[in-house]
Amino acid sequence: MLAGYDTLITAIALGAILAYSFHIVLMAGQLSLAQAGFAALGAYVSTLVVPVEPLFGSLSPVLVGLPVGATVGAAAAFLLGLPVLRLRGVFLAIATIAFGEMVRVFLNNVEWTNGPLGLRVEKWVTVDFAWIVVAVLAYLVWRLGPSRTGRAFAAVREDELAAGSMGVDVVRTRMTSFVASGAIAGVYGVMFAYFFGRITPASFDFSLMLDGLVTAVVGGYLVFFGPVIGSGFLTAVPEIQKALGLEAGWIHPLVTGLLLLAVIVFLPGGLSTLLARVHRRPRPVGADEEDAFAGLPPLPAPGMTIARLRGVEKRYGAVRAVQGVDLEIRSGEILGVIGPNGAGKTTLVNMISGLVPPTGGEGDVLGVGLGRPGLAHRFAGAGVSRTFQHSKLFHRLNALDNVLVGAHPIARPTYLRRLFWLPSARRDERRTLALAWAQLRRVGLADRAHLRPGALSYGDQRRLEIARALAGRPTLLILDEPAAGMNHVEAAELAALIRSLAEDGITVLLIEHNVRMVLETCTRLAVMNFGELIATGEPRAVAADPKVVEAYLGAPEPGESEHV
Amino acid sequence: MVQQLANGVFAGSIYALFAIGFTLVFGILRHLNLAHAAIFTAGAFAGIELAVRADLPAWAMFPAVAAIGAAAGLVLERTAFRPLAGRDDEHFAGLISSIAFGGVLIAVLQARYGTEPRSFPLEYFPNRLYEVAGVRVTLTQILTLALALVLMLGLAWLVSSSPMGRAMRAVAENPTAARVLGVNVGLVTAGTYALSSGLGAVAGALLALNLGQADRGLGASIELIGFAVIVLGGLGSLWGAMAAGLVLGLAEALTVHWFDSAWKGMVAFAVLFAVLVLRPRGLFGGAAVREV
Amino acid sequence: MRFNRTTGALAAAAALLTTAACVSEESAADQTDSALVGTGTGAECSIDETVKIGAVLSLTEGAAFAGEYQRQGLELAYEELNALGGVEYELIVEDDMTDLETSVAAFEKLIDRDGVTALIGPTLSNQAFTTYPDAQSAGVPTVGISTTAEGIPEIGDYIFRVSLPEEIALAASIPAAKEALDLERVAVLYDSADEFTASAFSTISDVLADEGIEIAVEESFQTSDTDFSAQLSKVQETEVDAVILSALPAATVPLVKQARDLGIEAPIVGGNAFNSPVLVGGLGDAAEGLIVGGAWSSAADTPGNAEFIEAFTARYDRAPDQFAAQAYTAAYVIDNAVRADCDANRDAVKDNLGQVLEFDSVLGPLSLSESGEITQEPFTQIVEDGEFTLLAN
Repeated sequence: MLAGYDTLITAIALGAILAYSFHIVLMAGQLSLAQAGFAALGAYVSTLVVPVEPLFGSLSPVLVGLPVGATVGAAAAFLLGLPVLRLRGVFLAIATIAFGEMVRVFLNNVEWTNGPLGLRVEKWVTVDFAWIVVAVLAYLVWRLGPSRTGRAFAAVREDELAAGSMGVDVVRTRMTSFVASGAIAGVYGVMFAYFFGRITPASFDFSLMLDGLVTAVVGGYLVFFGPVIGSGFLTAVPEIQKALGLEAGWIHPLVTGLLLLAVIVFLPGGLSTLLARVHRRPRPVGADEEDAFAGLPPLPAPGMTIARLRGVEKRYGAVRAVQGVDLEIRSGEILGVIGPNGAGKTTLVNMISGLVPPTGGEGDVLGVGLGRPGLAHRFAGAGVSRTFQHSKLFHRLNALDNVLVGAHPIARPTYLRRLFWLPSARRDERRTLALAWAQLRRVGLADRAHLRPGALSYGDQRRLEIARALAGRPTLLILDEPAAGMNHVEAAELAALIRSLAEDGITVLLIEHNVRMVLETCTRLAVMNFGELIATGEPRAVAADPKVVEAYLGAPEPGESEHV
Repeated sequence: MVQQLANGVFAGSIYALFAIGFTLVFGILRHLNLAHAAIFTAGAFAGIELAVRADLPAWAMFPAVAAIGAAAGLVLERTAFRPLAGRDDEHFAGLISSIAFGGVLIAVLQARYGTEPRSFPLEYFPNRLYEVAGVRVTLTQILTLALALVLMLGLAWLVSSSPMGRAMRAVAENPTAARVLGVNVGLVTAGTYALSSGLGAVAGALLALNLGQADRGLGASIELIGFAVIVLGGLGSLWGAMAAGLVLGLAEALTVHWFDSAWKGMVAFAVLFAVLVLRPRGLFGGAAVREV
Repeated sequence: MRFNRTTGALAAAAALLTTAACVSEESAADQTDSALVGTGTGAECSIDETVKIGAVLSLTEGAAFAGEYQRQGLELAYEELNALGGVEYELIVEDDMTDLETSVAAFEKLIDRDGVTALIGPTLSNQAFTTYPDAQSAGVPTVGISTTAEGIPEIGDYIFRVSLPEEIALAASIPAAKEALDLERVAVLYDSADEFTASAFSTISDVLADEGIEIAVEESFQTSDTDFSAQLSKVQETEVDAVILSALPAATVPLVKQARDLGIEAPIVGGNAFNSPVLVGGLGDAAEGLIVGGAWSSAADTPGNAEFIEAFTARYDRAPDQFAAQAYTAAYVIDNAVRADCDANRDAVKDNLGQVLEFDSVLGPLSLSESGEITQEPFTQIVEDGEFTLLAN
């Protein structure tokens, strides 16, 4: 029955392979569209090395071509990535499209490629071979998803800043996805060459790139078998059209366009999300938190200085958001930072967490010096963690996965071991899961672990962010207005949580406007106004300080609310 | 040599006209509208049909094409961009949905016009030739340049001085603040698309007039160069788009003149790549490249 | 339990890997169907079973400008052939959407699922290079009708073509033009992004060298270009006796128009792509003096040409072009091969196709060698008063 359909089935496989090269970068949220160029390079270079005769009498010569194509594609992606990866979004897209076109023109004008006349090779690729390659790719991507690396990809896709603050090396993650995409595209190029038996520079053009992108999007980049679904579906459209007897040639592009539009508007995760809709509720892993944290270095003894800032300043053009701040943070304390809006509190904290480099002064936090941009993950790795003023949760991940990302700095990479199903990988992952569940229980979200942030109440979202920040067992936890929008019952619960953290030895830096909570919870207070630190010290004393009163607190009238 | 400069200027004027519609939407709404090329092509076919079937003379044909283009822009905004507003992946999804819309539009054009190129009637626009200082130009080329300049200046005036333009700039800066201040963001968005597509359609009709014919690949030939123009000119800068269009046209002509025509195809991309890597804000781009 | 499952899974995977990685020899099965053999020969031949002919054409997307004409030429031909009686043909047309994958799949469908006797097409040489080896290994005689690139018939003995290679057409038109116009220095402009025009360019260079004509200016452009003024200005600056163009149809009208606008007054010589009535319609006066080499001429007095033009125009409301003429011819050539031994089996048809000698067609008398290459007299035409007329040799 299948005889006579070989080509169609192989075409589906090839389409899936191309789509995988997009899938992998889309998983990390990178709009890299240079795949046509990588494929072309992989294809052409492979023609130089693939033998004309089967190896050892019967092994397909393409087996030599595949690693060559992958390497060429990966190398090209790496070289392209170096200058181009600082770009984002549509700029990255345009730059990579330009690269693809330049490769095409270059290959067209160069001698050894025979220019537009192309190269002819034997058609070695069979149906089986193509589908084996697809299966291998699907397997690699399948094992990637639930691993630490896979979660890092997803985190970078959802929110780069938050991902970096949770310890993910954003630059390296983006480059990894880029290089992987190049390798897969190179493989596609080789498969293309040895299936069609002929390549010309025009074979790898802008419209091929669009086809691959469309397939990846229609199939979906959130589920590992998306490219196969996408390719199967899109190949089926013209066949169905023929079977229905609709001859007109414009019907097929019309239907494909409408399908793509429908998918992106109504089902942005792609068709594969329809098949993956049945989510298994994650089962709680109930290990003792102490066991989970066993093996990690102990927290510093109370009273030790863990952060030191001297004359730290941040300018934005002529605006001085923070100026001349001298501050020390000691282990075990709960340091409250208060002040009017625009005082520079968040900017200060952004510098302490490494999100933003200071423009003046110097300092270090847990041994990492303040200085260059883009090092938030190093701070996280040293033990700094934080929540954000406007919650930056990963919206397309459920609560558990959000917290698992938080565990990034202390989790061990498991991807390579997962490929071989090694038991040590399972052990490490269980350990990380235990950590995550412990935090979820701590903030009271264990029964809602399967929900996405969008389905949680505002208060739950704030708590989830804290759980995520705790999953990495931080030394210094920075909370940026965690009680905003909470009623006084919730605020009291939060205060209790913060105190329990301090009891466990975690240092907390708390920015808040809820003065009552601050006065009750903090062991030390720092007040900022117009970018300067105007007072630090014991909370009650600082609250009574006339400078502070004038700038921020005001004297309480009888009956007035204690919130500012 | 002077002829080559003239060639470059005329080619550049088409690039610029294509690009200003593109960069308008990009600058105000941060959307990369990949359906623009399809609307460009649609404008060309519409112009030819109006000239052939409805016997419209050129001075009536262009405004009619502009209106048709504007209508197409409104449909585009409604179906491909508005449903995505506010979503996390708004910009990426917008890219994909505009690709989809473009594909649908080209399919519709093929259904209506078939697969062959369509031509303007011969002598539709008097093809007079002039020779000025050793440079040969056709009346059509002069019309193109003049129309391009008029439209670009008109747009620039609109954006800088009119109430609509102020509203557009407010939305470009901060849509939420604009909404709070009473700007009808939905209307501005729709208006921006209408304006951009109207311009794109007219540009298509102009190019078709120059070539004498239109075929389905018309937009595709310009689209990639359009990217280079908006990047070189700078995000959202209208003057930048105009200048960059002319610069690219000249660069291509001079590359052919001094080097080999084989490399003409690379010029736009090499320039684009260099700009993105060395100076992402382009020639006249204002704010730094928006992160994320 | 688990042990067995794992072993089983591993074994299955290993088996699949082995079959995929290994390469084996395949041979085309011997296919002779007695139902396809009839009685009588030539005009008296009578076959009971319907003879299926498959055609893969680009009816949509990029190459549709040619594919549509081809389909119409074929349909007209088979209508006429079926009216002759004796042999009933069924034409199955597949649209390959100017896409390589679709073309390969279409070939597979026609060969394996429909079981056609012979194949016609595809429209583009690019698709042919990939699909013809499949037809060859399956043993299906295939006749190209627009695949003019170098190396096509060499793919195998089942591969034929009635499409005159671009080089032959140009090779004839250049000497003819040289004589008529006294050429010594020329400019050459070609599309360097397309393999068809690029290979034509290399032949043009050879022919010019043979004729002792100097190439004073050589410029290239890309298929998608619409503006050629930069290259044409370089041509305009140089004194030449003629401008030789190798381009795809979409570029022909703008090229000539822009050339004339820039003041290039030298005569223009074009290849196969210029052999279309659409050209004259699109250029008007600017087409005057255009010299076009091709495989067919509307002005030629070849057997059946006048009737063909009349029937085509009546049926399709437009004049035929070279693509239509070559498709039309292919149908008749295959019919001739079927009737020769009154045998519509693939091998019989293939054998007889290789024997075609001085077959009378609208292209003039043509012969097919056993290797599959066509021999015919090319036509050199010149546009005069808005009409293609033959350039006296």
